[in-house]
Amino acid sequence: MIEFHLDSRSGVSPYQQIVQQVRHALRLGLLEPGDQLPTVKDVVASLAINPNTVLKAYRELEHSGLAAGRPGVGTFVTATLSDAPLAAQLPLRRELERWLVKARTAGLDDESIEALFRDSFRSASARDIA
Amino acid sequence: MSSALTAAGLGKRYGRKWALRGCTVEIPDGHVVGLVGPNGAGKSTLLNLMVGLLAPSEGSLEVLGRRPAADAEQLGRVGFLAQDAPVYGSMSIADHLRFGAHLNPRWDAGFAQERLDALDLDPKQRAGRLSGGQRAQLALTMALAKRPQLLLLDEPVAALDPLARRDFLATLTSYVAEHGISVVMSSHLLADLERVCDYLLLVSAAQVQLADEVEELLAHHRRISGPRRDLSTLPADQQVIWQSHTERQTTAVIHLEGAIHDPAWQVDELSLEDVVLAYMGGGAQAPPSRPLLGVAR
Amino acid sequence: MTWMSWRQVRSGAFAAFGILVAIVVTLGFTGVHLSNLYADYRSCSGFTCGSSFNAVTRSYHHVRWVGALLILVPAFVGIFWGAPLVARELETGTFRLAWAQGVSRERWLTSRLVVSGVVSAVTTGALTFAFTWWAIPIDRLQHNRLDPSVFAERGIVPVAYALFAFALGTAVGTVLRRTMAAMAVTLVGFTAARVVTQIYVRPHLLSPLTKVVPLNAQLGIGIDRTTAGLHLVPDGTPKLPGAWVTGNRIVDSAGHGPTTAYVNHACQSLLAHTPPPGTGGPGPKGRPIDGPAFQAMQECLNNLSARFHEVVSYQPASRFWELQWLESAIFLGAAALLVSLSVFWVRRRLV
Repeated sequence: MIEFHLDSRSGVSPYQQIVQQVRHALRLGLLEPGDQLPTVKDVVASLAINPNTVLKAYRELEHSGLAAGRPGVGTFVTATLSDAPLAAQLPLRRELERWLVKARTAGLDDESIEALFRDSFRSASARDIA
Repeated sequence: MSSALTAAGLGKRYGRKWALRGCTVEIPDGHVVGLVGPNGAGKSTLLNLMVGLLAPSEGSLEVLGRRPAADAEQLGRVGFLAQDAPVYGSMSIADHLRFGAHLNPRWDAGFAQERLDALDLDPKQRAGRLSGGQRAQLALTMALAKRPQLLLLDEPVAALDPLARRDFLATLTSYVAEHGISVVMSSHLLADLERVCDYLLLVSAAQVQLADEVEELLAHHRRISGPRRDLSTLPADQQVIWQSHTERQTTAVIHLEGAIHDPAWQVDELSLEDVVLAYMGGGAQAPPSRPLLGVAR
Repeated sequence: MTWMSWRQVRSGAFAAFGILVAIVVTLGFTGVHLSNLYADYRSCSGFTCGSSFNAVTRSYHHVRWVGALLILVPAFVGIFWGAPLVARELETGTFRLAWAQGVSRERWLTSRLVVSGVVSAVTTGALTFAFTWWAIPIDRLQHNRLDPSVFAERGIVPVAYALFAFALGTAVGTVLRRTMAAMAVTLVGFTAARVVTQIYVRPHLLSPLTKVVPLNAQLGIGIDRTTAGLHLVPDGTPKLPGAWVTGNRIVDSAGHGPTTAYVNHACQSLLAHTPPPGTGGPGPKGRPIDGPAFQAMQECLNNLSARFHEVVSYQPASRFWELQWLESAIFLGAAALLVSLSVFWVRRRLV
């Protein structure tokens, strides 16, 4: 059974943090199919958050096909994330490393690289919304 | 879905000063509602009106479909935790619980005892000797053990240290998780409200400025920043809540229905605290042209 | 709710009961003793009667303070149990706890009033009963139960006073919302009510009886010597055993008093015998003791009694219980009104 924590300064909403932490745990293999996610009551008691937040997070995980709820029993993991994604990510990773070398050669420091990345990421996401 | 609170033109006046005026709002059942606003804005007044400790000067309100304090049954459906958690100093904790048991038909003695044990409180301890956090927990236990449908809390954690505050909120949210009651909680601590509340009611200058689900609020507000510009050029579905200009830059918090197509803007999402601060002034110009009220869903 | 009302007055009630028991026990012992002394007095003969009488009055005076306590107890009840009842809840904010439970405000107040009222009535009643019983010998001896200072310590009026003070205190506390201010106002209000009733109301609860008494120096008519002349002063010494004299005038058959000129004319020799004030000689209300002056006095009164007589208004001793019931009814009626005011105020005006 995993435990959740909330970073109130991260700018990420609580329910998203829960989703991310489950996905992260799945990637690391801390959670395997068949494991039970903490009950809503337990999460709420330890984090002091609104129960709807937890329900929303668990619903999203269900939508993503990562978990399934069994009425009266709890919510259980149904899939893993640790396999294919990592493999698919290898070419992307190499491309990114090449880009980083280019950026450093151009004279950007760490902060500028992060800012450039964030900006582009946001614009791209915004274009997706629009 | 029934409503926790239905107010129409509700107003309360003390002498010549209006603590609350023209309050027309409908808050649905089944939510944890955060009631925010500056000091003296009318939050306490609204809560006291809802529990029947104050009578309206004008307008009407219904709580859970009925007039507040209309009869003993209505009093039994609404739990209240007043500011500073008043208790009878010379009476013991056990006396307080007995008091609750005698005065509330639906009293759950088992729950009350469970809470006492969990809090490690000595039932023979006089209530006057309890710390602020313990008093708040005792008051919360009493308010919950009467099995209300709606729980009203007036700044319950204002005077508590961070640990006591966390314990209090954990107790509250656990109870909500288990019994699904509605809660209206006033507080200054916006960070707490963001994790605990899923509905927000903002009262400022005796008026209701915002009444909507937190999710909706966060989805429909953004901070935009970019080169300095006149904000009256924004599209009609974008309403400026707060704005700030320097020589070269304009920053604004806007309410929007659709998406932002203008690539010149850098768009950021906001925390609940940011949204509330924007509505409460925060060095602003141009308050909203009309108050934004959520629709009952 | 009854348990809660009791719990909130419990410590005060126990303290009161403790004091009550101590006093009643004291009265019990001394009362038996007093009773015996009185029996001795009744069966006395000759010289022993004097010392026997003294023994009784001495014993009475030792425990007389209980009577003073009885005068104060109703005021205490009003100040310490009535005034804080609602005011303290409002001041400390605990009304936000008490009135957000599953009982209405009216029910809350009614229960508090009934429980505290019963405790007040029982304590005061027991104390009054014990003291009245204890004072039986001395009342028989002094035969003055209608005297204002005695009347208020006997029978049932102390209970009515206590309930009135309690109702007054609660009403004042409800309206003023501050305990200290309420206590002060209750004290003043209660005292005023008692004084006004005692002086202006009680003498007229039942129409006083009147008795016509011929003027006679031995029955206490005094002559006042002013610069203008002579002035008759009824001395007010009791002429009716056990009665409470409420009025005392010297009038003719038409109801007019004697003018100074008339008295001067009718009592010329007395006028000659008594010097004007400021010139020494017998004092203003002098009952002249020297022979000729006394003669002159008697002659003066003989002359006056041709036309004037003394009219004494009084309540006879037999009316003691009637007056007690009537005065109690007034105070209890006022208490009921104040209770209604409190309930109305809590329901309507405190929100």
